[in-house]
Amino acid sequence: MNRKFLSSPIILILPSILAIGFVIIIPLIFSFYTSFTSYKLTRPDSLYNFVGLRNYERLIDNVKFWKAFGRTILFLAIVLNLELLFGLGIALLINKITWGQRTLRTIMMFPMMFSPILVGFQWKYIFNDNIGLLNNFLYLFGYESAIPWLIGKKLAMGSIMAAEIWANTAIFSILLLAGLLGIPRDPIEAARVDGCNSWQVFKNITLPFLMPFIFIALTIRSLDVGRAYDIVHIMTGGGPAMRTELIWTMIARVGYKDANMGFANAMSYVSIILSIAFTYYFFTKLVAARRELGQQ
Amino acid sequence: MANVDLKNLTKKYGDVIAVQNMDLNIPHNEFLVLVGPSGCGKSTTLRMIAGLEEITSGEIYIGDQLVNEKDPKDRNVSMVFQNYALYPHMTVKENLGFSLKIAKVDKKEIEQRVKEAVQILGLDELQKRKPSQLSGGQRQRVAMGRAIVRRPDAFLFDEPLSNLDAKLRTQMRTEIKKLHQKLQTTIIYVTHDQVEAMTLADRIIIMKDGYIEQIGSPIEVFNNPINVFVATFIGSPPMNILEAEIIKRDGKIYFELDQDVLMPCPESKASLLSQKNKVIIGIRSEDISPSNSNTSDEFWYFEKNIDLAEPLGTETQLFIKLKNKEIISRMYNPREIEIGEQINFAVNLNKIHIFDNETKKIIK
Ligand SMILES: Nc1ncnc2c1ncn2[C@@H]1O[C@H](COP(=O)(O)OP(=O)(O)OP(=O)(O)O)[C@@H](O)[C@H]1O
Ligand SMILES: [Mg+2]
Repeated sequence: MNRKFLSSPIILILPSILAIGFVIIIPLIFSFYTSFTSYKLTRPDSLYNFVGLRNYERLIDNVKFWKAFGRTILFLAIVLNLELLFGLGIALLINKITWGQRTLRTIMMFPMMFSPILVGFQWKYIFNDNIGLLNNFLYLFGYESAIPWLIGKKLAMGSIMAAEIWANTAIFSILLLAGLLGIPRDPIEAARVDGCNSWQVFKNITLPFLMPFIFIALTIRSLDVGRAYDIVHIMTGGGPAMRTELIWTMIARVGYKDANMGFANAMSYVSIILSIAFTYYFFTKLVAARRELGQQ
Repeated sequence: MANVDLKNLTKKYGDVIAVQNMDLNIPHNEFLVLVGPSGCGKSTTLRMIAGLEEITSGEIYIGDQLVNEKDPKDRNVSMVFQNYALYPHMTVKENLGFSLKIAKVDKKEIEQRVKEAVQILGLDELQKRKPSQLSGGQRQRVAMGRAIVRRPDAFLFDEPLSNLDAKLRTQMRTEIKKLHQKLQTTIIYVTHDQVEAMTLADRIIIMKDGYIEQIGSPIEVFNNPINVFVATFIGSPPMNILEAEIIKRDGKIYFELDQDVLMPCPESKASLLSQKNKVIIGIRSEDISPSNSNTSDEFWYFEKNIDLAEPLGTETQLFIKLKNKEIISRMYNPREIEIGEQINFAVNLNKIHIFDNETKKIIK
């Protein structure tokens, strides 16, 4: 063999190239290929049934898919914004506390310690219209009629969002708290002497310093929320009447229940565009925010 | 219009006492300079006045108002921080105008004042840069500018010129002096630079370990230091300090500066020393100078070999040894000096300082 090809740098990175190849690249190519076939899980031979762009063409006309797509964006937008807001609030409060901060930080992380599936179950029972804690609690205050939290047309989505926010706000708090702890004291002091009240200090100094952390958190969480599946699957299963169907619950249904893997993979590739778009957007924002602070 | 008064001000960080029972009245329009060794509590004092540091006990008044409980923003002071504390995400121009923007000053007025500051500080070309793109000295000038665009009741300057080169520093010193004359405000100024302290101050405060050692006009603290610490701290090179036995001979009092080197005690001081065996003598280097004659009564003459000579141009500093301690003398009409050369020195007896060897306080 050519000596140049086997030069030591290549040999040294070969194992990682191989590993990445097996773990990522081959499955990626394979799934991409299947999105051009009419591959059905139940009929392995359909793997060789090349249909060209047909799956993608079907997708473009598929109203259900685009509804789920839009719903996912809405879900992302609302959940991310609220988590950011609550997370920031919690981080600011904890940052103010001088005594017992560690304990509070730990307590704050509790929701993250549970499996999302279990969180889904728990909230499912809280929101159950008959036996749920919430309705029973409201009953005590005189709300006689049971509120259909998980099966109401509009309520179901909100309930899922509530569970999602409960479970993951802590990620924002932790990341933003790290950001807050890292803010140098001097510019804040200078601003106070320069005549700023607390709100002005927050707006003009704290927030710009926090921006990079906010965008890191948003990037991480947008990927996370964008692939939401478990919590929806458990709480509503996409219902009622598909009103809580998100991209991934739909893909899973088409891929595994209908066994329509080729089509499902085509959907996945379209939805990945969404994730990439969000990541790209937040990442440019992150870079801009850091440049703003002169951190490059 | 504001005087600043500190009453029995104390600051403790746990067990560390940063400032101890400080009493100080700073009248309106005074230029007060704080000096002292590193860690003596200068920055802490300024930070307490600004309201950035909780005070342990005591009271602070600005313009006769008790401000202990007031937020920094309500104290109307502006401060130059020792470490600049610029806003990293704002350009130089935004940094300068920030306080005015917060105070909702008219846009035109902001523009005008920022422009003025930019000119005084020579920041013209840097206006669009961020602090991370500036050198230390440039940052310091921005910090300075940020303070002077305001019209506060008092300025607090924490070593505002420490990072500038000699030329710029002289220039800025003049600007600060002008600014003080123009704005007529109270200024509290921390510095390590002797020249800055002497030239700018109406009064100088010398601090040590959280205490005030002496307060006085520059001339006063220079000519009449109340203890050895102040004597050695003010003046450059520092005052020569020698321990001396008191020797009485023929009814006269002498200080033994070295074996067989006896300096007569000035008549005026003799009565104060009757009880003492030992004292500390302080002589400024300009009061020991080479001399051709040895006749004057006001002087005492001795001969000594030169250990080292440092020519500085206008003067040459001569190093000699007395009791194994290095003594510096100033020669004002420099000529070539050879090491080991024997020179006749004259000590101005009216200018020597005599300190108690135990309390280290001046005897007078
Ligand atoms: N946050 C703090 N916690 C504990 N001790 C402190 C703190 N800040 C200052 N000190 C101590 O208080 C004393 C006074 O500090 P300060 O900063 O006022 O000194 P300084 O006179 O400004 O010194 P320098 O000339 O080096 O700036 C020092 O002994 C310092 O170690
Ligand atoms: Mg200091």
